Amino acid sequence: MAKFCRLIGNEWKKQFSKVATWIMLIFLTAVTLFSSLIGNANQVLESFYTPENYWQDDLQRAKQNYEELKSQYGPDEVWVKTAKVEVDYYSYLIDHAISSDDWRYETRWSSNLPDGERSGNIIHEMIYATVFEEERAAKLSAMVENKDLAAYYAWTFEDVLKDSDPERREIYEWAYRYLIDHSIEPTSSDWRYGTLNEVVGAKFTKLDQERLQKEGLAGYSEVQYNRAKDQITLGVYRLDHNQERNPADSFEPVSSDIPEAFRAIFTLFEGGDGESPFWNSMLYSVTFLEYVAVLCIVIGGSIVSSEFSAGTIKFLLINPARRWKILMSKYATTLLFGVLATTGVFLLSFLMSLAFNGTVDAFRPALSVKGGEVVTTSPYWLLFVRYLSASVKVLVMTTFAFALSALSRSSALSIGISLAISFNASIVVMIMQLAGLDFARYFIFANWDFAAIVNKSTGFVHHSLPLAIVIVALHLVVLIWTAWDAFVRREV
Amino acid sequence: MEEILKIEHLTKSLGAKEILHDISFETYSGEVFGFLGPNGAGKTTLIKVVVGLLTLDHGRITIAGNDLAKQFEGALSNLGAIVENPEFYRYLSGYDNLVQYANMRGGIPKERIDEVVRMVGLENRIKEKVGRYSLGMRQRLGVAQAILHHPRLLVLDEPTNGLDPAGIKDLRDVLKDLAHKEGVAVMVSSHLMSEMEMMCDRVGVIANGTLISVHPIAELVSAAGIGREEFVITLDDAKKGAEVLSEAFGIEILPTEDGAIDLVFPKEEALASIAKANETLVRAGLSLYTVSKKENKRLEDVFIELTGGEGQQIG
Repeated sequence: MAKFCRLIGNEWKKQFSKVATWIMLIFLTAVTLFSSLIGNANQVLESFYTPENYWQDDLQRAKQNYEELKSQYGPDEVWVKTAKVEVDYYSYLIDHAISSDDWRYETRWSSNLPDGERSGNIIHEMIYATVFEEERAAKLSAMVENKDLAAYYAWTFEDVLKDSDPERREIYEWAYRYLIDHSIEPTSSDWRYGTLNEVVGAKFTKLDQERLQKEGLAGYSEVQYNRAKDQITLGVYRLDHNQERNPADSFEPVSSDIPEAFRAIFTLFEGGDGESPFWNSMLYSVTFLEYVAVLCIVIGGSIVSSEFSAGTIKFLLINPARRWKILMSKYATTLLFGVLATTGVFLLSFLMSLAFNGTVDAFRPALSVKGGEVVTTSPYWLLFVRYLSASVKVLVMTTFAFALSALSRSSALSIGISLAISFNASIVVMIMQLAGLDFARYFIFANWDFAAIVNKSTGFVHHSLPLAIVIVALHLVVLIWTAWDAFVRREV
Repeated sequence: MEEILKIEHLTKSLGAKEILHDISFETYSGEVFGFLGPNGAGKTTLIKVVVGLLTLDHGRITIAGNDLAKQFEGALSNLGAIVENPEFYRYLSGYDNLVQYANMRGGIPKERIDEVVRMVGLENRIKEKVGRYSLGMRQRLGVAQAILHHPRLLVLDEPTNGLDPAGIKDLRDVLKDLAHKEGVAVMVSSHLMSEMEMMCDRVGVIANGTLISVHPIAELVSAAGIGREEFVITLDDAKKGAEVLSEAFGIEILPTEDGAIDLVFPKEEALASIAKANETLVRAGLSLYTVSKKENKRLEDVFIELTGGEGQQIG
């Protein structure tokens, strides 16, 4: 064992004495940093956005529009008045120093909570009313000027609290009380409003499902009922425990139509309520293992053959170390490179995500509901599982390059073929799957993405994980055996 | 003398062609064994089999008591070698290359590395990258690598390739010291007889994959006739001349079939003897046409003779 470690040490030293290795490591660091920037694109773009003078431009535009219309049609036309509303609106925002995240400006539209039949935010509504509906204006301006949340909710909930259906009314009453008691602002900067909206939606779904079941009507779905129940449990838990975002949401499959590879980038721009940008960006870092694969393929594809091309193989093999030990030390060194590069990619992405998203989400537990109870898991565990799953492809392709390198003794051939397969295999399988060639499911290329198989997003029906594991293991055994046979038994 | 390398009935084919045929010999501690043969005779193949790069078809190889096939690591820990050209990791320094070998063999202190570097005279350049070494320097590094772990058997394939005359002499001294003072069994292959003469204690001659003979070097030297001078005398009456000379030198001398007389003298008294022979013939009234010195049979001729004149043709 000590000798084996010394052999690995030798390989390690050789790799790090090559300029090519350093170039690749610098390249890996650069693409990881760059991809991490893309992974935090929302935050990066936001940092360029300055709210000062934001209203000024709009005001000037509105004024210009209004002046043009007025000179053309006179001040009493309806659309001229509407244009005037815009001018007054922006002037009001500027005069009262209302920022874009003020609830009165950003009064959020909600699908399940009543919103007073607004057409825009309530400031706009108020200005509009002063021009067109005098009696609404008084009520609204009291609300706006005093920042009176209770009045706002009283106004918006006025009708629904009189709902004739007692069960529906109960749900609204609960929401109303919750909003008032916790001073929740109807804005997207207060996450609780959105979460409450989701809980109320789930409560209605649950109610509908209960009624369908009671009446024995078609359309009852136990799955939907249970999902709604879990949503309520989780939403109320988050509201009560004040957990703004749930890291687990980043790991949920978006849709079975979207392959895992694209899902990560998809979530970056389509994060829902409660989704964590920090964890979206961390999940996106799983795709950087493609770069690690390039590094491993280049090292694995040359670590044996370069000894032959340099003629050093003879001097390597006349040492008191059995050939299989030498071969395995080279394989272990290649895999060690992969593990370290993966760790590096994780750490870099972690630091970048922290830098752009802060530390809050980094320490939040991932929440899920099991048997009606909220269960907390570490999101780092969920991420580790994703990294592990993505490493399967890296392992298979690295082993392939390694075996080819031992067999052909040509670095260029081994690296070239392995990279070509690595880049195109998934697409070829996808095309075959779309073309209805079901046997493609037995290809190694269709079986190395364990996360996709578990999430049922490979496109093949009834794709099972145990079968995938068997197929991967079988390929690894054959590849290592090939390398073994080529290196240990062949004559030099 | 302890037997270090023992080869018994070694047979090796590459493809359909039998490269080595039933070879058996031993080398002993404290001797330099030369392995002599023309290009293509199977020298490198034999060495590759001994160092474990090629497997053998039949036979048995034992290094310091370890069967090469069964106790591979034990056998190879007693072996140091250079096979064909000395190739090293060009992107590592000479020193780092030696560290690689030290790690693979284990138990080699840093002082030993410095010691072998001094022995081969590379102290000044050892920290340079091997990519900048000349062939001669790499050859020296090869020797350093081979003796690093105090092997009991040292196998060197044409080690003087690329060395300048001073380098060849240095190497010779190093190898002789290793063998005669430290008791290492050294096996050297070459196709240069003169080199062997200066370096080796015993020489094995190989041709066409067969070991023809094993001789102490002294035997070969005497077979080559070194230390004697031979003269050819042509004259009008060879028969009478032979009689006169037999009488004068007190040995029987016969004329050759083409009517000449061959005379062989020890080198130190050759000139005096030929003068005496001339004088004797002239006094006997014979007409002397020519007296010519016959060129010595060189070591190379012995070599070609031993290898059955196969030296010119590889195959």
